[in-house]
Order: sequence, then structure tokens, then C-alpha cells
Amino acid sequence: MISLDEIKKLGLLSRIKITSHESQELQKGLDAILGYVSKLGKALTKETEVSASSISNVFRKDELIKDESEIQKGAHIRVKRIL
Amino acid sequence: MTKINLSELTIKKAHDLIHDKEISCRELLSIYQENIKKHEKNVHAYLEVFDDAFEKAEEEDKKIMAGEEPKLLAGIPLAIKNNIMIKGKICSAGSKILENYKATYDATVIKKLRDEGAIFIGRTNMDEFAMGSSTENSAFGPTKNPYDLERVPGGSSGGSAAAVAQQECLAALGSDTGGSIRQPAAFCGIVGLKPTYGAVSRYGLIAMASSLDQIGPLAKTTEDIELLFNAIKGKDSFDSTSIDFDKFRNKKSTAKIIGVPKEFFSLKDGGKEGLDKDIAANIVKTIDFFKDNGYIIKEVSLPYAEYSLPTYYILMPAEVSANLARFDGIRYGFSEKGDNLLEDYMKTRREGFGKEARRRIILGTYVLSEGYYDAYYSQAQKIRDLIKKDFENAFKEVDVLITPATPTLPFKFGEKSGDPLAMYLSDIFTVPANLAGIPAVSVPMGFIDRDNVKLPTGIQFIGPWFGEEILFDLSKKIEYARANIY
Repeated sequence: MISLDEIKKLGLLSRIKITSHESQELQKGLDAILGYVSKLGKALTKETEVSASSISNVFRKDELIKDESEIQKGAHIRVKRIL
Repeated sequence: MTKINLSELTIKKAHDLIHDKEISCRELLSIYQENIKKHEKNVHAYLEVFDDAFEKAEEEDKKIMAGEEPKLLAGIPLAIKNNIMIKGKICSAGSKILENYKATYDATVIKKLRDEGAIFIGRTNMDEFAMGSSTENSAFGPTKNPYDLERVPGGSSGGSAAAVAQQECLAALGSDTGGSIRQPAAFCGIVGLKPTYGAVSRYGLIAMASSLDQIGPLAKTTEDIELLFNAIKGKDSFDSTSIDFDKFRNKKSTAKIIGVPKEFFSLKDGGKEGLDKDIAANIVKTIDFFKDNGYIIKEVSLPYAEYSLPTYYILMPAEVSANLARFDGIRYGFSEKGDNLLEDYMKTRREGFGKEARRRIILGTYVLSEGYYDAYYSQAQKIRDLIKKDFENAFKEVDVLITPATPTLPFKFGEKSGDPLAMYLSDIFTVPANLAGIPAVSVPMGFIDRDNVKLPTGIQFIGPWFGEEILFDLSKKIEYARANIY
């Protein structure tokens, strides 16, 4: 079961403010959906597990993009004016 | 001016009338505008009817008067789902967060239709960001089903489907991520096509789940669907997933062997658990019709098909959470101020997105987050592959598959809106084609009496990759014989 703390954290990660009333409703909805999709756990057997997906994502590591004109100041990076 | 029966009017017939100068583009448009005036307050298919449509129609008329041969779509009034960009028009995707966002360019499909002389009559209502099966998730109020105003038109392309069914346009464009063209087409008694993934450019379509989204037509007849599909298909340098359809076109253009996937419909029982009994009876009649006409009916198995919907409800929200991250209150329209940048984002996205959009973003964030990624997302990707392989295997045995388009008749407002899972089950027959990237069409298969109202139903044909012509062929066979089948 997804906890209210987890929902709060997901709200922060998703950049969506969640009220306490709503987090309970979300908990109910997400639990039902996650319960339903957990059916997938049964779908893969040892035999099928080996087949890797042919569709794959291309990831890169998160990194700061800096050039010489940028100055790091403590936790901040000064960049060029945008507007 | 020739008297026109709109329910019988097709693109081809309208083209001939315009070509023979029996009617002008302006006159044709005004007939539809009259219908909009009459029905729109009840149906609410449109978010906006365009003021400048008459100017465009007059431009087409001028060309014809000057002796130019009218192009096939010259003067044809089309409705456009509001997640497809038309330069200078608001493209809200049914969301408050884009309420005032004006498109800065034409989507490729719009450009193609414009070049053929089509007239855009208005932008149609939809579930917010195409998330929903009823249009109840639109930030601007729901669309009603023209056959029963107490029932939903389906979704997410419910506005486009209702506009076609109510004769408020000649045909329309929608988008289909898990059934958003086919399900409303079935609920509104019209034809709807989800093309092969890559057959139609998505440049200028507001992305929902990019590995599943396709633009496609909704119309009264298969002939119109075919015509519009041919007008919008093709490779586009602005969409790297688009493919030259003519180069990859399936060698088959007609079917001999029709497969019935036993996971969707049991030939032995003449139905399936969760499938409306009257819809099941119509499926049996359809299968008998094909049998009587010399087709071979073969039961096939898609063992992973039962995992389609759970797979979809992991992959789709994952892509939604990524695609909708761009709506931050800074780059597009709607913005709420907080005490700092983080609060700006959190408030904007809370107020700007509706309930279902928020739920799916959060669900997507969950399945993509560290610790859950492998258990959900990677697992679902693997199963998606197995579902695709199921279809590859099935199409070695049969030319096309037949299933119901929807498990139920059009439902009443509020019936499923409080229970997300019940709403998601509306897509159970349509989602597999999106996961596999194959084409599928929903075609009307007669009406069913429910509570003293005649409600439309749809049958779905699913074809192999780039096998749209097979679908058109079977769909036409149903249309010609419909009165005798049901």
C-alpha cells in the first residue's frame, strides 16, 4: 500500500501541490490502479524473462553544463541573462 | 442551391457538388454552421467555432470561380481535436493550463489538409490532454452523446466524434493513444481509424504518451476515412517516428482469413466476461456474415493480451509524467505565483491540471522512481514486447483480427468518473493495438435498445503493420450489408 508520506514525496517530485484531503483520495485511486497493474508480476516467467525489450530508452547522466563564462558561486551558477 | 441530406453526405459527394458548382464552399459551410447553432447548446462538441472559416471558404470559391479545378478537400468543413495545432488558434488540449495558449505553427496534418483546400470549422472538446474515455475530464465541461444527451460520447476525442455524428462537420481529426478515436467513434455510431504507429506525423500534436500517440480521422463512412488518411499520411522530417507509408504498405489489401482472439471473445460461448451481452450478440452476427460470404473464421490466441491494460497503465502514465513536465507556468500560458520558484511550479501545476491529469502524472512519477522503475516500467516494456510478438504470430495465421470496439454501450455521466479503474476498463479492446503499433478501425455495427433509447455499437478490425487497406476493405463490406446483418 502506498503511504501518505510517499504521496507527499511524489507530489514534490512531480511539482504538484497536494492537499491533505486530496492525498487520501489519491492514495485510494493509486492503490486500486497499482493493485491492478501488479498482475504483470505473474506475466513474466523464467523463460520469458530473458527476452529484453526491443524498445529502449537512451539515458544520459545528469550533469551540469558549464562553460568558461559561467562562474560557480557556492551552490549557485551564474549564467548569462536570458531576457 | 441543391437540397442536401447531411446524414448521406460524404466528402466525395460534397466534392462533386462543389466541382459541378451545384453548391459553393460558403453555402456548404453555412449548412453546417446552421446545424451547429441548432445543436451545439445541447451537445457541446466544440470549444470554439472559428469566425474566419467563412473567409477561407470564400477564398476556395474564388479559386473555383476563376476556373481552378477544386482539390479533393476544397471547401470540406472539418473539425479538429483541440490537441492538434492550428496556427493562431487556441490549442488548450482541454486543459486550464493551456486555456489561452495560441498555436504558433500548423501541425503537419493541418498543413496537409490546408494545402488540399479543407476548411477548419472549429476546435473540438476532449478529455484534458487526451486522458479519459468520456470527455468528463475536459476543463471546459463535457460533450454529450448525440444519441442520448444523458450519456457520454466516449473519449478522449469525444468532441470530434459527437460533431461528426450530429452533422456539425463533415469529418474530423482526433488522436488515439489507447482508443481515443475508436471508442468515441463506437459510442457515436461513426467510423474511426487509429493508423499504424508512424504512418501519420505527430508534429504539432500535443504529446501525451509519445510511444503510443497517433493522429487519425473520424467520419461517417469508411470511404471518407480512407480519403482523409491518404491526405494526412506520410513521412515528415519534423517527426522522426514518421515513416513513408507507401514504401512499407502491407502487401495484402484484402482478407481471406479472419482471426477471433479467444482472449477477447470466445466463439464457443459467444461472448466474454465483462462484455455486454447485446454487443456480444452483434459480434456473433458479424462473424456469421463473414462466414456466409466465404471468409474463413479462425480462433487465435494472444496469450499476453490480458496484460495489455495493466502494461498500458504503467507505460502511458510514465510517458505522461515526462511529457507534461514542460507545463511549468513559465513557458506556456497559465501561471500561479508562490513565494519562490518551487512554489510557483507546485501551485501552477496544482491549479492548472485537472484531477485525472494530476493522478496520471503522479502515477507516472511513481513507476519511474528509483526502486520501482525495474518492478514496473522495465517489466511493462518487456511485456509490451511479448504482446507485439503475439500479434506477429497471429498475423502469420490470419489476415486480420475482429473484436468488439468497447465492452459496454455508451455509459451515463458520472457512472464511471468516480472510479478511475472502471473508466480505464473502457479501453480494454483498444489498447493492445497501440502497444503493438498496429492499425485498427472501429466501424458501426448496428444499434441496441437500452432504456428505450437506440444506442450505437462498434466492431473493431485490427490489422498487421501498414495493413490499413485490409481494414478499409472489411469495414466497407460491413457498411454495404449493415441493414441485413443486424
